[in-house]
Amino acid sequence: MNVASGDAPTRAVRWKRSAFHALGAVALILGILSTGWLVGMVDQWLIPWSSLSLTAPPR
Amino acid sequence: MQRQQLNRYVIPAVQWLLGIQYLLGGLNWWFKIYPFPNFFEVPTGPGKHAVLDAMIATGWMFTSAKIIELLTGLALIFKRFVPLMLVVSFPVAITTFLVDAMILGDLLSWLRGDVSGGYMWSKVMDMIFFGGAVLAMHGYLMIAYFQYYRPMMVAKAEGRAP
Repeated sequence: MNVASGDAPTRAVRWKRSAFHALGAVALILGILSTGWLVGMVDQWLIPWSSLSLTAPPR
Repeated sequence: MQRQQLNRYVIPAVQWLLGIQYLLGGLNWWFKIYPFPNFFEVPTGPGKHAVLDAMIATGWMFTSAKIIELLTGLALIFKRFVPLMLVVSFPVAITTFLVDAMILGDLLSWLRGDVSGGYMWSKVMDMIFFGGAVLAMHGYLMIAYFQYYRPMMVAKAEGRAP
């Protein structure tokens, strides 16, 4: 398949691209949320460390 | 905007996000900025703390992982040796995910009614937001840079003197 020459991408190529874009969307959303949370928690700058209780409460 | 054009923004954005996360995670080992395990504050407890405790007890394993995290963070942020550092730090990403994903025991406890639904939910959140996020970003970037790994994908390779 040669996209540059104007050939239509095959089904396998289209599937791979879709999967890549889906993973990109998941990575971007999770990345913004988790990195934003971590940046905000640096030395309890914007978010208190106690917010971690959301992921580790008592049994 | 075409999806292909979106890649021009999404790939650098994910690279920055993962770089910042690795950099902060690495720095926390020497400078206490999070309530996570630190060189001066070794964790004790069951589950994933026991795994971290064992790694720290070796005297080199956890520090090595943190040095790799720090270098990978710098590489991703400054766009230097990105494909190489993604490979070097991949075991760290996998280990981070597996440590956070060790929830089978909690799942069984929840099914038996020993722990609350809220506790189980928090474990799932921990798996998704920390280990899962790192693995998703890392995997996405490795696919984005796959062109640099393609020459390594040979079944029969021959060694040669330099």
